[in-house]
Amino acid sequence: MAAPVRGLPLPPSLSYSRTSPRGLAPSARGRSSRSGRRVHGVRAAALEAAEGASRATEPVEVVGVGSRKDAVLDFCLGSRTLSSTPIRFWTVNVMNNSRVQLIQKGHGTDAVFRDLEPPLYLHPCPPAVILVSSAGQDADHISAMELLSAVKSAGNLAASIFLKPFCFEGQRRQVEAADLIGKLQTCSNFHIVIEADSLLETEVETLAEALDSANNAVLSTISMISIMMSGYNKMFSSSLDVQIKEIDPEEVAKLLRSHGEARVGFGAGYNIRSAIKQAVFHCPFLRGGIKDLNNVVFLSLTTARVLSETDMISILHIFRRVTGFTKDIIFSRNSEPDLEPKLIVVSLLTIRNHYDENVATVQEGFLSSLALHFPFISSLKRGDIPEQKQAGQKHSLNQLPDNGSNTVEQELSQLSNGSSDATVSKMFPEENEDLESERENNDSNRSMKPESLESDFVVAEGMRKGGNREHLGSEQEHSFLSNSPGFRIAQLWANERTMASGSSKNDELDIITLPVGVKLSKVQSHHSPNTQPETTHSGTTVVSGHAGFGVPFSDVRLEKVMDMCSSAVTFLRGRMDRSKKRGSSSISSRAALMLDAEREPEKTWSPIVEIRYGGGTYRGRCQEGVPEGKGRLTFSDGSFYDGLWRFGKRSGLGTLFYSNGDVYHGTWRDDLIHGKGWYYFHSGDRWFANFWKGKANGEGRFYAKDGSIFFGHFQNGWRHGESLLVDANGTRWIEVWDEGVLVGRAKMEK
Amino acid sequence: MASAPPRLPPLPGSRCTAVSARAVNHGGRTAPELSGPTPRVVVVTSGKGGVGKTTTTANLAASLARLSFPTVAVDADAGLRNLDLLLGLENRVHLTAADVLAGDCRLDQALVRHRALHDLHLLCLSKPRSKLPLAFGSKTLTWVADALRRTPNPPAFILIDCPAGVDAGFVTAIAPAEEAVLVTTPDITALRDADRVAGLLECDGIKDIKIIVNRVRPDLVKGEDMMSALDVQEMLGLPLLGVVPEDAEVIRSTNRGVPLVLNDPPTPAGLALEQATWRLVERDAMTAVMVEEQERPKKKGGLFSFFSR
Repeated sequence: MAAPVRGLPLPPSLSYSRTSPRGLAPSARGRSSRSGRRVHGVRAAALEAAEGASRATEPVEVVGVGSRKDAVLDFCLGSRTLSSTPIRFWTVNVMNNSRVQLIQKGHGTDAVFRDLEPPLYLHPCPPAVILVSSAGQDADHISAMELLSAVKSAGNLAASIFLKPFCFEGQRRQVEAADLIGKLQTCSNFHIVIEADSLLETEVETLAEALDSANNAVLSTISMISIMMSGYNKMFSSSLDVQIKEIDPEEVAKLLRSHGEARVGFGAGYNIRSAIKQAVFHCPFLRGGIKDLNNVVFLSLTTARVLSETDMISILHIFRRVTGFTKDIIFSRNSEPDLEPKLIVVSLLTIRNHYDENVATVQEGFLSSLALHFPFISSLKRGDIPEQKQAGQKHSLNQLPDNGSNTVEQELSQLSNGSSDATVSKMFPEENEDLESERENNDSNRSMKPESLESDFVVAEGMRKGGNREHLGSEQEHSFLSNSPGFRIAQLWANERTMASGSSKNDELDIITLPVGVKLSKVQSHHSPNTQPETTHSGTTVVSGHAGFGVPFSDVRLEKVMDMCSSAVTFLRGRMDRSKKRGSSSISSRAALMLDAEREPEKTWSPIVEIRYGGGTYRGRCQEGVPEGKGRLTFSDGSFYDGLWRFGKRSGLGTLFYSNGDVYHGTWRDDLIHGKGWYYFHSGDRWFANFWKGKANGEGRFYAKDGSIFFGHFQNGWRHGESLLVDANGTRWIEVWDEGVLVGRAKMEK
Repeated sequence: MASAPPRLPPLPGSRCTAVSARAVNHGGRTAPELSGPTPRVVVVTSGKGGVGKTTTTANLAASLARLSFPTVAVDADAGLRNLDLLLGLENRVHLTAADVLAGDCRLDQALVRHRALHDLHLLCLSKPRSKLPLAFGSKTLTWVADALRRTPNPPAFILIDCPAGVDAGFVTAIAPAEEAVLVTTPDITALRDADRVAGLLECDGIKDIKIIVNRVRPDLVKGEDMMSALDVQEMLGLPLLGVVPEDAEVIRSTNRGVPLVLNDPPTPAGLALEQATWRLVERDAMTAVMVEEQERPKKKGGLFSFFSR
């Protein structure tokens, strides 16, 4: 049928690899040079259609009005999904003498004008007129609406698509839009409002993308209506129990006419399942699933190759399974050879008859049914619903069907479940914690548990916690956190961590027992003298002085993330303040840089931060999230290190204050005592030694409280070799030690 | 200086009205209140040449003199002096500070009094082509300033026009000063030099440094092709004494040898310099926000009068 259209000089393969719904149409400007032929082609197709099919005599007329008509129509003209159906695009031009002119939009300059005399009426009346309108340009709207009501009174399909303005376009626009929507509803028998605002709330990042997506919605609606009205492709109706049957376009048109308000969803994907999911769950205009709809759904599938009947049946099956939809589906397939070979474009119109049920009542009903299952919902319902209604109802619409798919519909596929879960949590971070815990219980009831999801939560929570710690007092912090999602998880995690650090507290700090470097008899009896001293139990007398961070690896990683986050926050805050003052001008920034380079290289200190680090609390200067420079780390048992840090490790001069009162003051390297240092024991003894990687090595002296002094050598923390002992009465002894064991002792002769 | 003998302003009546009209800007006061002990020794410096040091000095001095503050403008640029030209006194400089220090004349003989502004005196350090080097080194101006202090009628202000650069001349010029006016333009070059000079001044113990941002072009600032006075002030981190717009009248007045502030009707730059003088007298500083709010209507008014001429 559409063979001549296929012969159009379209480039065979443009770059067309995006699977997002806004990737449906390429830019309109690319092919404008060949446009003349294209318009003829469309007309030829229409003629051919009239001869061949004899049902569709006239093309579908699309009339654009409002401030965004040109952009939208250009977009539609530039797309490839419309090439197989006869569509004519018009814009309304009200002349100053109240004559109305329709200007055909096509590619190129061969504009066709068509004057309309009041009363406005198209001769002959087309089977379907689609009015694409947006706010602005009132005069056009009035004439376009007259046109539309004429079509409606003639008993044909008068569809209107309204592109709602963005919320930031101002209050006046919104009022105007609301007014227009009301008018359009009365003068059309099929009405779609495309909410631009919902685009901005979802994954769309830029305004251009949002507009693109809105244009795509218009395009897919137009294409669906035109496909359905043209009767090129057979239409099928499928209900849950009955087999699919073919229906003819008149019936479809009747169905369309009988319904008031509609929503559009579209999506593309490389397999049918993802395409459906895109269209149903991720399309911002559909606002949640379609499971709870009572009405017929129009589904249109566009692929590069022609789908067979069996394909269709299986696709319908998949569609029902993915969406949980149980009512009738009107289904059409069409093939578009220009489409990328494997891509499947799904668009669907969901009809909601606004006479008997509106959005709010659906929610209420659904909530009540949920409330039967879970008592907590009732509180949610009480508190949240009125606000949400005011806030455009998007909130609950989006979350509730997803919830439903979690709780009620057990046969849902695992993947879709996970993804819907994720979207909910992403979209509504201020959600109630009750809900969170309830879902958790719910999850645990089921066999499938989204592990990865939860761990993500924990990380996110941890990061948030870290980021807020600095400027919130602990009380505020608590209240802040208790309002946020996953608070319970975070709490649990915190508890677990403190428990972990508590259990590892014992080997965190090795208290050096006196006398230093001497093996106790108990140890000696248990170990043969030949065993390496390093292998002795760490709880005994190994002079390591190393306050090891007894934290499991995963926690360390997490804390790193936290620390980095917190330091990044402080860094950014400082930056922002400075940049705000400096102004954005590039000249001044250049000048500022010049002056910074010119001035005396003052040591710029990173700010003092307080972070969790290594199982304790660190307060001091940080770089890249780890201690750097001077700072103090307080361990959970009360001992603390105060001194220099480098790359997150104790390095340089520093003092470790043990919780039992001992103090080590000396040099460190790589988190170990390294170099010369003094130990001041709480008993009053003092010990000076050379240390090597945490162990006393080389010369050292030990001043006991009773007055005796030991001069000698140490090796691996043990007294080793010949040494001199001056006891309290001044007697000198030559002692020989072997790795902490006294081998010989002789009184030194004068 | 309250004890200064009140003299009639040597200006025609029309100028008097202009002065009183301007005084409205200062909250109804007709004269600024002198702050601090006299004589106040102020060095006008910039580091970079050509930013308007000498112009600023001449205009500040003229403005001070018109406010009945006895002022001595010292041209410390021994080699390349220009202040006499700006004040229109080039033909009357016969004796200089070098002669005084050599013992050839008295100090009051070397002071050249302005004909119209009786409170304004000019003192040049040396003649342009004098073969005598300044053998007394960096203490030269300190002695001059001390001598001026000890005169029977000490001036209220000693303005020192500093030579460009940061070498010997600069050191000599800033030696007696207690406060400094740092002239800069919103150029990156002038800014660097100003920053450097500010550091040197602070090293020398001059704590009271204020900046005048000269030759600001609002059109360029608006187009972000030029730093605003606010930017300059924030980057230098010094209080702002004034913001002077670029003005073609400056060249005219320089070539005529009449300081800009004496122009009637007043020019934008002249008005800005006059306001700077008020702030200098009162040891006031303008805040950066005031730059935006205050300068704009004033400039506009100045332009109007310029066009209506």
